[in-house]
Amino acid sequence: MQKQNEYDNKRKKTLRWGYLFAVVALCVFVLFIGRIIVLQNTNVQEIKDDYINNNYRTATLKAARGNLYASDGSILATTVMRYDIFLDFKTMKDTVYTNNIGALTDSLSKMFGKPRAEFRKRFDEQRKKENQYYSLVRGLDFDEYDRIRKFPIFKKGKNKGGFIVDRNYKRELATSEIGSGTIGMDKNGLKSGLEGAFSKYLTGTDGKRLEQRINSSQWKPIDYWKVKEPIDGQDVYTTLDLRIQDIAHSALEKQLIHFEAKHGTVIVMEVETGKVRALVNLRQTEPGVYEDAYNYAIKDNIEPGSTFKTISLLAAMDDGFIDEKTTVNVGNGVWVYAKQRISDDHGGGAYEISDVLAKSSNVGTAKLITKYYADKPQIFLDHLRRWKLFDKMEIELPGITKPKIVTPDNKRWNAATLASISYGYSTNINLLQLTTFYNGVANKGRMVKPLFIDKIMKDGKTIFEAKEEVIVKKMASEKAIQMMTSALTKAVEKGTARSIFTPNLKMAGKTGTARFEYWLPGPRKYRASFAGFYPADKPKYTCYVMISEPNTSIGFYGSTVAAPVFKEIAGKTFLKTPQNIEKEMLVDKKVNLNKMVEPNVKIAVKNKQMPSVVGLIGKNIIPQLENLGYRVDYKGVGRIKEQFPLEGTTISKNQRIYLSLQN
Amino acid sequence: MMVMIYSNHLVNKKIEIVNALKEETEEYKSRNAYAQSKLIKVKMESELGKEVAADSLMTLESHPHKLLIKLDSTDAKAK
Repeated sequence: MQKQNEYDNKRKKTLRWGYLFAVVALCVFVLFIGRIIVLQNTNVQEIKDDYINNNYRTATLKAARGNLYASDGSILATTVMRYDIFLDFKTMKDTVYTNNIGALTDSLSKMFGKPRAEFRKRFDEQRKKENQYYSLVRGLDFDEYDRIRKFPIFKKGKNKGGFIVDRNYKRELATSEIGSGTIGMDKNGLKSGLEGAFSKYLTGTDGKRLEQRINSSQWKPIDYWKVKEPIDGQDVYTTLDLRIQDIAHSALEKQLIHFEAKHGTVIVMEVETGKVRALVNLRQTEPGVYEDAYNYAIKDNIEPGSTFKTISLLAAMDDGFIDEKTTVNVGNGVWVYAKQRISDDHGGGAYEISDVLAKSSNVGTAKLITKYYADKPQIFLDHLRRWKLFDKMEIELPGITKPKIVTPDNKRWNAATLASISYGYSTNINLLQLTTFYNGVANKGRMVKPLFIDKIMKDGKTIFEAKEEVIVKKMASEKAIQMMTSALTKAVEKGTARSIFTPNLKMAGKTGTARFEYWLPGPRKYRASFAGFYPADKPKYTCYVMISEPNTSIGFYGSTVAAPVFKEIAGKTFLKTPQNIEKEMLVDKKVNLNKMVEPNVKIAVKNKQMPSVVGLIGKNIIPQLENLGYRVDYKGVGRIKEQFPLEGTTISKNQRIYLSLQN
Repeated sequence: MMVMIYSNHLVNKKIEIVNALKEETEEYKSRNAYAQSKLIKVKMESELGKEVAADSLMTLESHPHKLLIKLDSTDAKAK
């Protein structure tokens, strides 16, 4: 009986386990079946896609944008790395934070010029919030990043110091102010300047490759045979000469500030090749502040005024109507033609052709042009057409305007229009085209296209090299070009631009003072210009300077406002390579160098009395006084103009002696 | 199987090193660009002019003379 009970108990126990196992097995089976049913009704593709999306990616291999260089190889624009700094306050240990926060805020305060308490307050707040991605600063350059990453706490890195760095690429100009508008940009679809114009060369082709995730932030490339390598952009060497650009920029800026002008432009072109060596456009943003933003040189058509007289008179010279012997009577400087009053600043009686140009006579120019072309204006206009002054110039930069010159088939044409055109009104043209014309005259009648690209390089190899493109083989007869060059030289030597004459560099050019918006009431507005080339005998560069809306109470004439900019550019361009001066200016006599160099005067202090040092050369005297045991304070350079103590005053050792020097 | 896992691990390690080196290369490129940019700026005559103005030195406004000197000194050879 007892055995039976024991057997039953064991059986029951076994059966209980058996049932339990069966229930578990059934549950597993049901779950299994359930899972199969779920899977049957689930979009497996979605799961597969999810997995693939999280663990695989098609990475874009960014092609590097090419660099933009000046002609001498100096970088104008390049792509650089910028650093954004974030802080993870959760990972910073309490001890690390409390022990170093003082030193860190000190360093940050010095770097950013803000009170350290401000940093401390911000950091304490963010630490309380346990912010893991607090933006500290954005857009640091390498030097700044290199400095900040060595600060206390930050130097412990990402995992211990919570120092997170995001690296971004940014297109930057090497010379932040000089030529920023000319160099331009290509950003978010906005294109301007050289960057925009040469984007097709600079932009490379992005590549692609498949990558697999290996941890939270690292990916490894897979399927190597399917990789599409990126093709980097090409390097574009522009024709700009950074030195000339810098000279032109500072010369123009200085003059704009002095004359409180609204904006100004300078173009410097190499005569033989047409390569644009400098292109500066400065616009006033606030009084005394100018930025290079808008390309007035090509995007604005203006009535040039007197600089157009060169064009008019060259037409008449080429047709043989006028020569050096031709004279024109400008009378008292006022002439009424077709009911239009034409005037000069002053009368002068009979002018030779060179005087008409040198003295910039509106009356003389209008009288000559109307005399020979009033009945057949088309002949005159044909010259302009031949010199491409009616055509939109084909250049690499976008946005160039098409000149507008009133012609007889235009309803604005009247009996006085030809006279008006002759001295630069009723005609709208951009400065680049005017510069190209003057460059043609400088190039002995050979007009070449302005060039902005010097060469294009890829992987160190030149794939394109710009060559001069002749637009007009012969603008005018050799005689006419020669006459014009002489007249333009005379304008600088004896004419309206005589203020810029220097015997050290022969320049040729024409001033221009044009009123604009003359149909509007209010104060008169002027554009002062100067167009010319240098050295006049063997021209190397052509330069056009235009300054718009100078303060008329300070000055507005081309000779006083624009010409000095031309002179400074011309002079400084050849600063390192002085040109030969004319033979008659050379003094052909032997010199004794010993006589030229002033001997070093020895001074002595007798009876502790201050000697006279006035008139002596400072660089010789100052060391002598110092060697005698006196302390010397001086200002200026050159000869000693004033001294203190005065001659004969008793002086003691270590006494301070004040000297004023002047050349 | 073990060899495969280990070799995969080695590959991943190398990729991490390569990525770090790539980043370093980019940094050096940036550094080079900054250095060049600074050099260009320092070399500019307008910048130099500002620097030397503090020492009472003025930049030339006009074109310099080209001197032609004939020596009559017995010590020096005529040029």
